[in-house]
Amino acid sequence: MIALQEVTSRRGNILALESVTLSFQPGEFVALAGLNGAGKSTLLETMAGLLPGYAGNCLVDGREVRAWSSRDLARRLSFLPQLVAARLPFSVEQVVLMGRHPHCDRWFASTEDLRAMESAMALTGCAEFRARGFHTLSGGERQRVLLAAALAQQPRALLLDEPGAFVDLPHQVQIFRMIRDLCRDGLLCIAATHDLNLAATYCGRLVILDKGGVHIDASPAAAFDDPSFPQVFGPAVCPSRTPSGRPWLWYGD
Amino acid sequence: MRWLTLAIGAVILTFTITPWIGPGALDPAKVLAGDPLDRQIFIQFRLSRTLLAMTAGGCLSLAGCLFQAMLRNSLATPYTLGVSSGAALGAVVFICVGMPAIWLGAVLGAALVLLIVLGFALQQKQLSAHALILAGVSINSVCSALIMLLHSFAGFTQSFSITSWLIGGVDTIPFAPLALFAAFVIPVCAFVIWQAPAWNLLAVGEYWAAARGASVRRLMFGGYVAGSLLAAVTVSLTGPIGFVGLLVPHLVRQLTGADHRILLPCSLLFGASFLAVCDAFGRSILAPADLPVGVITALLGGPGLVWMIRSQHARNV
Repeated sequence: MIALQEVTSRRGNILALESVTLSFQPGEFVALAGLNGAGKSTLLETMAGLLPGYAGNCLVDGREVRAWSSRDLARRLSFLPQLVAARLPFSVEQVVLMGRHPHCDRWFASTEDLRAMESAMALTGCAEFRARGFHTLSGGERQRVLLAAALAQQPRALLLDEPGAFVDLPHQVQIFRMIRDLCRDGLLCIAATHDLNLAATYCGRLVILDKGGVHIDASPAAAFDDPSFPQVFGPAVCPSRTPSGRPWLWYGD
Repeated sequence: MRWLTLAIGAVILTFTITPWIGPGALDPAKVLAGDPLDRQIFIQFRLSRTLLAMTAGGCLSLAGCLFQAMLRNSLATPYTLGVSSGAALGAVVFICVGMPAIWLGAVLGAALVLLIVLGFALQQKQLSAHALILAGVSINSVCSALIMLLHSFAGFTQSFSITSWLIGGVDTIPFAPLALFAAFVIPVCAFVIWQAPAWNLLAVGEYWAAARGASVRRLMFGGYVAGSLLAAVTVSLTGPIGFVGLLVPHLVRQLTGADHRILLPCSLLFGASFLAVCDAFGRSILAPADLPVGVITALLGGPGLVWMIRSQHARNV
């Protein structure tokens, strides 16, 4: 559904992505990992059509991403940026309904929009604070509301930039499990994350970026076993296995 | 919805009451009975002035509310992006040269700044809030420096008219230009309100809006031009009346929340009432002296804003 061929992208004078070639199919749940500044956000933003200045080809449904109108693109894929700071007093429901923007031509929400809002809020567990102001929520609660908006958009591909940031552990697990279930029904999700154990538990594929290029692209188990894994993450994280045989990372000594 | 109803009520109430307020009591019975003098005072002076105040107040607070959303900056005013200081410079030039139609100078000055900014912006790929604010701040400082320069060379009478123009105030106005003013701003206001769902998205973030399918670049252009036109045309008729565009949207947002589908029309309507009421105060409180409404709004606006932020703070903590 998304295919990148030799994509190179600059941020100012910095080469943030260098000839990246990747392709993603419906039904995949892909974790995007790597150190700070490795190019995870640039890759997601390029695929979301927000950085049109790239070189190479970035195809969404066979068409160059910069050739899509933003509305048509937003009906296919939904991108959740890092650090969304809404300081104005929007209610939680209003923020979630913003995800319906590419689908509705009317000024006020239709019953279908409301239904999408309800199910997205149920999936992310934010129905309990639905009537509160978005600006009064904690960081993790905000993140869940933003994720609900991205889901209410009902995309075929979900691009998430650190969806678990600030979120408490039970809700992180709930979110990853929920996305895995959605992917079994054909959704494509690419999520940048630093939590490799969470990724290893729920994602079927792990793409590790390093200095703007693809370093490892494999299943989590194969990625952890890759001899070049420590070259990226250093000696502080030790790839291993749980007693039941699942890939697992230990920290430190 | 109830706030919208209230806002419409406020406008109707303001429109029916404020024209009767002012130096020299008007007898409603005589006006309605058709007494030629009273009727003329009422229609030519009070009614036109009220209508000008309402239109100006509405436009300024709508433009302020729009800029606060699209720049994601609660300190934005209709004057932040610089076009109205171009208008002020144009007006001051016309005053110094002794041209009669000061409003024309203001329109020309505003148009010049608008063209310069758009010329620069069209060369850029992105029109970010940050770049717009920077451009606005620098235009404001250049224009105010030039105004001070002209002011320092101006003669006594010119200096007086420059000062009184810069304070900003509404005055009686013939109905033809008033109608022209309204005919110009109504479609612009309609455009701004119609785009409310898009301003909601932009108020959260530019990436956020783009990823929900909004054409951010087009919206930033549209919002910049629409808000600037509203501010500049208003300033050309009334001078730069301060604080309406800052205070009213803040106050209304406290009541209605941030949904611009409700917030924008309410700001427009409450802004209209607010300025007309302020002007009614201004012309009656020290009658027969006529206080410029710009003084009233600034006197009310400063403490009003502080009070509002305090109460907001108290509620959030």
